Amino acid sequence: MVDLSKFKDLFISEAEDNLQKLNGNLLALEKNLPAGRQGQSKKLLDELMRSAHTMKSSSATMGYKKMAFLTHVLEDIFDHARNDELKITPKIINELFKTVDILEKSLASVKKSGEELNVDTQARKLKKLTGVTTEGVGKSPRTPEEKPATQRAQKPVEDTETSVPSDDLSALSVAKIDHIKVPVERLDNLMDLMEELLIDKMRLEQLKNKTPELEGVVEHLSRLVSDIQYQVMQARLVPVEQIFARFPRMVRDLAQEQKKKIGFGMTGGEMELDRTIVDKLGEPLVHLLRNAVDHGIEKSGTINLQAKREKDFALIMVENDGKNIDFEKVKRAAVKRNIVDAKEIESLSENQLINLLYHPRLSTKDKVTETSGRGVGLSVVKSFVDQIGGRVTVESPITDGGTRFTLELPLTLAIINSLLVEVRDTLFAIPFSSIERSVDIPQGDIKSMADQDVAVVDGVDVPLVYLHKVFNLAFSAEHLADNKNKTKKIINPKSSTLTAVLVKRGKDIAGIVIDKLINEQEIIVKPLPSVLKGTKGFSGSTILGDGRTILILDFVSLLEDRSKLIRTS
Amino acid sequence: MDKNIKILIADDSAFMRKVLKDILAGAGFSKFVECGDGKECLAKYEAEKPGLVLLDIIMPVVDGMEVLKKIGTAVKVLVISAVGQDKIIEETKQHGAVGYIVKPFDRKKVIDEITKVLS
Repeated sequence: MVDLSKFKDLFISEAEDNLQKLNGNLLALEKNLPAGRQGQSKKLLDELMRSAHTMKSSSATMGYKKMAFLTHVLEDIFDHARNDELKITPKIINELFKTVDILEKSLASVKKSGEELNVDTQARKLKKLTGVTTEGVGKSPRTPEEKPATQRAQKPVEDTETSVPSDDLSALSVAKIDHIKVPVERLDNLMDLMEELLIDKMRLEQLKNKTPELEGVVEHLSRLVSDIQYQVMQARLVPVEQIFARFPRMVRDLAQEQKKKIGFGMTGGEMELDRTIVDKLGEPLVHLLRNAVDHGIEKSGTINLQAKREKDFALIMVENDGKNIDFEKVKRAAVKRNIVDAKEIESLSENQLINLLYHPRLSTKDKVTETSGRGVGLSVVKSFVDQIGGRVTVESPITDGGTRFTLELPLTLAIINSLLVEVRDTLFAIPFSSIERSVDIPQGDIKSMADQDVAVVDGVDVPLVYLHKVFNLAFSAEHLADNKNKTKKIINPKSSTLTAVLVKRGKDIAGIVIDKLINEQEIIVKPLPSVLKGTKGFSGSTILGDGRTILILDFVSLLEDRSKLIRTS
Repeated sequence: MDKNIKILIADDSAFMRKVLKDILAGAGFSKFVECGDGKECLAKYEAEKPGLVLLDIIMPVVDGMEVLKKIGTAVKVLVISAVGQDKIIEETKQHGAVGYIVKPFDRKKVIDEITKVLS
């Protein structure tokens, strides 16, 4: 027997591809049913049959006999249908979809434990429903005269452009393989090593200043490390299509459940993002799409899912042309569930009102259904964007009514540009993505308004946030001693100007008051040390070239907590 | 048996190609060309002039039977397919196939059949 364990990964990824194809082509076939577009359906049935067939023989080769049999039944159904011996009805389509789901589950089980599930019941159900008489793999009384329908007149193909001289065997094997599948774990390892390398690079850059002979080689090394970093990042990119692919089916199922007529469009699936982001993107999108089906579309309408690349970030939009968000209903629900006090509800700003949507306990549905009504949904979206340093915005109504949620996502995760700042002898990193610019503010431009310092910058009132107050930081004893002895130029908290970094969050702007700007630096985002998990104000930590660990500031959560300090400008 | 022979493996499943390649490599063969559909198979056949073709029947774009009709008399073609119907097997023989293995197969069956075909 063939030792099959080494083929398992390839078997699974190919089977997953085939199940996805089955899902996609079944959706298309379902659309063709009422229109009776025979020609198009024939082609779809050919493809469906081929996917089932491939999966059947691969499963059989791997020894997964039950999946092999079920896919064989599928193959026979598609084969009979394309030969007009079987009429595909909506009932059959539904059962076929269910079969794909069951195969997916069985495949997941293979992935996890190496054991397939017993899918025989589904095979019997299909046979009964369709009348196909599949008996065993490779044994079904099909009419062999029916040749595969792809067997149309084909011109002989002479694709000499891609051919390689046959005597050059080494070139041949290189030319053949232009894509390889790499286990994600290896890419992650590569990334980890890359990060170590980057830390050493920073260390060397510091040494360079002391040892001028090193200059040339350190510069060259730095360039190389940057190039490798870029290549590693590129290798980690995957098209969002990989998670988009299951949505047409999902929206179809939800629409059918709720007896709504929903058209679903997707664009931009080819956009590529770091796989860590793509991995996590699935769940929030499921919630946004469910939300659009449940709350957006009343009886019939369209939902669009769109991915778009902007210069420094990626946009993913979910929009529907149905109802606007009913903010009055949101307010009532928020009060009913004790999220906001009834007295305060009317004084909430537009932003605060929108933020209510993402509250874990908010739901405007009166009844809890399988898909929504428990709240949670949009809070999942919010915590996802917060976690990866992105943003979510909502527009409702859009042009002719309807609602659009936009996710703004960073293109990469692990390595970001940041500004290092010092606050009372403590270093922090601020991601570039949240910085507008830094400013020196003369004391005279600062006014106090009801416990809140506000600076006028370019004619706009900017509320100030003193970081040392937020984190309760004081100068170190050493610093104060230096100050006393005047051995070191010190930072005077009472100097005539304040240094602030302007950060923007949606329409809000705030000035983060710090002691000193250190420099710009590429940093590697590491998770927060476990003792700090759950602490608001930090998105992660990083290690500097000199080995110091510093925290990365997260203004989304920092400013949220102090929302009372931040007024819309 | 000439182990230096170049073998074209035509199957739309990369999994299947890998399994076959593994079996062949284990038997001492080393020169492989792969393709995933019938059109590619015909192109690769022209370009590479393999000494043996392992051919799947159900493939996209151009199916295996069409490929066989074009090259079946020019080169040794061993059909490896999950289609087990006698009429199909008979038809491939008519178009020049030198052998037919029904999937799923085991290592021994593949090696035995190839040995038979090449000697």
